[in-house]
Amino acid sequence: MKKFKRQFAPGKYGQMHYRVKHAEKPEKRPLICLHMFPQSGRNFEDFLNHYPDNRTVIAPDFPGYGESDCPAEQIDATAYAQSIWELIDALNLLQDEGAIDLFGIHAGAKLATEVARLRPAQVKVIVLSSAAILYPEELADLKKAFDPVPLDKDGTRLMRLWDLLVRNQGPGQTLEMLATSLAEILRSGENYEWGHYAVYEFNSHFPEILAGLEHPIALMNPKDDLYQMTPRTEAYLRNGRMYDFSDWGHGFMEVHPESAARTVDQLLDNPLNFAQPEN
Amino acid sequence: MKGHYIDGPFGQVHFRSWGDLGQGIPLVCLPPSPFSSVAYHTIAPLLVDDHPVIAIDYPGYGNSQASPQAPKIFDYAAAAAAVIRTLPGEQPANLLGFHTGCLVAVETALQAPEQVNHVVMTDSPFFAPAKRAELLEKMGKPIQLSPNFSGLQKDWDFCITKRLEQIPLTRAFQMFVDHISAGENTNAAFAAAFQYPCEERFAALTHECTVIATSAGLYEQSINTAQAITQAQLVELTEIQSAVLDRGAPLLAKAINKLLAA
Repeated sequence: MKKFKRQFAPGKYGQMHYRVKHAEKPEKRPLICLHMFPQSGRNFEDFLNHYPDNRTVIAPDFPGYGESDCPAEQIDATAYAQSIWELIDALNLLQDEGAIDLFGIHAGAKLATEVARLRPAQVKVIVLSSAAILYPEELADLKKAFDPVPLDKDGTRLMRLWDLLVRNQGPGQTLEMLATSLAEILRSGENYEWGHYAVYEFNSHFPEILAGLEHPIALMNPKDDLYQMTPRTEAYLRNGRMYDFSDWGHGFMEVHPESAARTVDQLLDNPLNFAQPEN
Repeated sequence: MKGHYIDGPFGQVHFRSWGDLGQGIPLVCLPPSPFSSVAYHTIAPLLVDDHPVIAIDYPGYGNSQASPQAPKIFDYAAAAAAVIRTLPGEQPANLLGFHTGCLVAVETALQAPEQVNHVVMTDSPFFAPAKRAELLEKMGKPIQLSPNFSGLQKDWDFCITKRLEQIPLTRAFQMFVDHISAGENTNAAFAAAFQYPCEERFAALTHECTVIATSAGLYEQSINTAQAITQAQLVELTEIQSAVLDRGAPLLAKAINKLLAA
C-alpha cells in the first residue's frame, strides 16, 4: 500500500503543513480534505493511505493547527479558506483539470463551502460530513463545550478535552486513537480554539452560502454529536443529497479507513446517486 | 524556525532549522528522551551564531515516521546521518547531544565519520550496565492508557509538576504534549538508550569531542564519559543546576558557541 507523505509549503502566515498521497497516474481531479477543529490533517492519515490510487489527495493543516504556522492574530473563515487556495496554487493543483474536489468534516465541512464560494469555477464536487446547521441554543452549548481552558498545573485543560473525546467516542474508536487526537489538539497551543471562533461566526452565514453553491454536494451524516443537526442542512442543498451513515461515528476514517476512502471516492463520482451498500 | 522533511531509513524524518542552512558549519542537535526537536526550541535561537542550527525528530517522535521494530540508538543515528547528508554544502556537521542525544551523537559519528566534525555531549547518561538494566525496566516500557487518564499521571508529574519552578507552565506543557504525541511507545528512546553499549562505542570514537557536565543530575556520568573517550575535553558548567535546555540555555549556548568558534 502506497503511503502518504508530509510536506511544507510557503503560506501567508508562514509554513503550511500538509499530508499528500500522489497518484501514479491520476484519472480524477485532486481532492482536498479539510479537518475538524481543533485537530489537524492527522484526521485523514489512515484515510489517505487507503484512498484508491486514482487521484492526488491532500490533507492540509489549517494555519495554527498541526504543524502549520499560526497567524499572529485570529483570522476568520474566509482567511482560512484563502489559505487553502494559497496551498492549491502553490502546489499547482489546477494545472491538469482546472479544478479540485473537496471533502470536509465538521468545521472543515463548513469551511469547504467557503473555499468553494471564493472560487466556484475551480471546484467540481463537494463531500461534506457532519455539516450541521445549529440553532442558537445549540451553538451556545457548543461554545460552552469548547470554551478555551486556561493552562494550570492541575491539568484542567487536558482532563476536560479528554472527557470530551471519551464522551463522543465513536464505535470502534480505541483509547490510543483518542489519545492521538488529544495530543493533536493540545499541540495547537494557547490559540487552540481560534478555528472554532471563526466557524462560530461563520455559522450564521453558512445556510446562505450553502444555498448559493451550484456544485453537486454529497452530505454524509455519521452518528456523531452532530447527527441530529446535520439533516437540517439538506434543505439548503441546491444540487445535493444527504446519506445516512448511522453505523459510523466520530473517528470513522480511522476505524474504517478503507471503507471510508472508497465511500468518499464513490460519492465524488456519484454525489447525487450514490448506491449505499446494504448493512 | 522552519520545518523540513527528508526521506530517511524508515520513512520521512522531520527536522527544524534556525538560521541560514547554507551558511557555516551546521550544528545538529539530538534530543533527550522522550522528546522531539521541541526540546531545543528555547536554546536553538541562542545557538545560532555564524552557523545554522538543526534539531532532529527521531523516528517515532515529533513528526518523524516510526521504525517498524523497537528502535535502537543505531536507528536514531541512521536517521540523523540521513539528515546531515541532505544539508547544503559538503562540510561535516558539528553534533550536540543532550542526555540520550549524547549517545546518538556518538553513534552518528561512528556510522558516518566523514559527515561529522566535532561531537559535543551535554550531560551524558553513561551508567554502569547493572544500572542501565534497572533503568530500562523502570523507564523503558510503553505507557498505559485508561479512560480516566490516570495512566498519564506519572508523565504529567515528570513534565509539569516537578518542573514548574524551573520553567514556565506553557513550556512545560509543550514538553508534555510532545511526550504524549509519540503515543504508547513514547518511552522507546529510553529503552534504546539503556540498551546502548556505551563502553564499547565511546571507546571507538575518534572525533574531536567535548563533554559538558552540569549539576542537573548527570554530573558523575558525564565525568565518566569524558574519561571513557580518550580525546574528550571536559567542560564543567556546574552553575547550571536544572532545566539545562531552558533555564540553563543562555549559559550553555554561550559555552558551546565559544568552543565551536575556537
